Amino acid sequence: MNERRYIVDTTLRDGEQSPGLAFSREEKLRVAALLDRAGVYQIEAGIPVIGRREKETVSKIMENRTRAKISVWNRVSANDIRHSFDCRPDIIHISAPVSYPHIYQKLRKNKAWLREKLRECVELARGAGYEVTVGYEDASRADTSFLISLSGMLRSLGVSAVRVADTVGILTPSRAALLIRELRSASDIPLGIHAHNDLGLAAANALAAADAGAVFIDTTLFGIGERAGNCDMRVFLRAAGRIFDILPTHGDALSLEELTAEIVNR
Amino acid sequence: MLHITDRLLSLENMERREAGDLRELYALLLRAGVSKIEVSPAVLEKLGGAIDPSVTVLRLDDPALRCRYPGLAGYIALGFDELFPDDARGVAEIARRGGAPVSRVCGLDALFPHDCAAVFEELLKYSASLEFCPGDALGFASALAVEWIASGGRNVVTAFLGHGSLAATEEVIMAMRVTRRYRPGLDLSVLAELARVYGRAADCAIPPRKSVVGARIFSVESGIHVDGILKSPSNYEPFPPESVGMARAVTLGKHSGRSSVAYKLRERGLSFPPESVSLLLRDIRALSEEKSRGVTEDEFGALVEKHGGKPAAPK
Repeated sequence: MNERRYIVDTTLRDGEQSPGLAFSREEKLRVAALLDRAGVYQIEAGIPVIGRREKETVSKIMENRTRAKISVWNRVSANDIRHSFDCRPDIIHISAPVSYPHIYQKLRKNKAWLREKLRECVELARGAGYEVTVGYEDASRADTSFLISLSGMLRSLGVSAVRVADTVGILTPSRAALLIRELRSASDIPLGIHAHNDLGLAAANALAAADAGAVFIDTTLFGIGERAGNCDMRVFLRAAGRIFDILPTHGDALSLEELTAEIVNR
Repeated sequence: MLHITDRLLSLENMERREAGDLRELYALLLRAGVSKIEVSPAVLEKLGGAIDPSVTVLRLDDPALRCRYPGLAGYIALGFDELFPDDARGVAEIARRGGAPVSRVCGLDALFPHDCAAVFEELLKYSASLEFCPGDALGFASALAVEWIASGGRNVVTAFLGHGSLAATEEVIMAMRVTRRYRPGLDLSVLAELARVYGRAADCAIPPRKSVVGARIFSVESGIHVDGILKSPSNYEPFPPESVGMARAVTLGKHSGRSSVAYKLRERGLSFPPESVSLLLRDIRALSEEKSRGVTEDEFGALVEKHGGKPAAPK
């Protein structure tokens, strides 16, 4: 029996962040319905803090879905999370910048600030009864011991999974596998992988991470996303379908591409 | 020392390209960090004297023909110097094979991720100078090339843009640059020119999201990313756009934030009432959602005017 792995599709969030791309409400609903029907485990549906229309769309996706879990993306911000409450999603995902460049250059804060702010945000969402996942943004350039210490805190706060994000797409397969193995050896919190394709290695990195024990694999249709894009669902499933117990099948991914090409791949 | 051999100019149909384009591609590949260029006899003829024999490898159907082309850096013939083992067992067969030594192993498309390390060890035991030319049937050729090098392989065979279902030269070079500081003094800005010349020579458009050389990989719209890049480009760029001959472009749309708007106003030399920035941003996002695309420069200009923006007074 092959091990289970789960697709977290982020076409409607990270995919939509491709410059010049904006899905209409009808397009988002259509893509979400097709992903749901194909057996995608989790659909990252959007960013509620963007505004009223986005929130209404995510709420409608929640209303329509049959099997998939619907998650929404948030910064480490109580305001973002309160906007997400309005959509009543299944999962509130909080993305925490964890590398030194991101903490000190981007946020202009420090590790202690991040840790405390993240705790507050997780407690806010957990306190409202939500399943919470946390993304380690820029994990591939972070200090692994810091990630391990965060995982310990997040586990105790009831976070259900941690997403390891190769935000600038600089991992190679063996480094992706090593990072996952190191995190797994220190904490039993379930891990996911979010790979970017800057070096043309996103699908390979995701597969290597899955092989090393990452349970949740972020993908997008046609590999769309920031810069060179994300892990392409079809490419990943072509290989992963032979190794893992995973849905959708490669055939379903091909059908998804056919059915969404006009919306997604333009 | 890593040696990358690029096969673009030995692939089918390349001999149909203009001689001038072939010469330009040959020169640009070498400038981009390729150690050797593999060519077909027909391309070699078209290149004429515009080659450096010490870095040129000739692909032949029949190894007996190599005497017709003396003085080149190497010769490769399928079935003789070059083999395609089916799998790990096929690799083991190579070591037991008699006759002339194999200099290049190709394919092994399905090796990733499970058998890489063991098979690479076996191959390198056979010959530390073996060339590996991974196949891309499953989309992992560049990953196989990178892992081959990580395992100690010194010779890898690729093709620009991954043509011929091979590892993509530009991806392997950039992966080595980013992860191993491969030839740090080398100016990779030539990659954009290489892509442009290839597009012209082959009359094809390179996908805008193509890793390393796609025209839109340094376009950025998301407010978080624009804000991060303005503080320090390395926050969201794996390598500077200029390093591969490109430039960053901030675009506006549904995911824009206040930093993006401020940047675009500065870029256009406009003064704008600070209290109206939120309204301008709201309209940009609404227009983008309504049109299901980004906001054009003209549309941005109209919105700025609507909210009281005007050219900045000269200082």
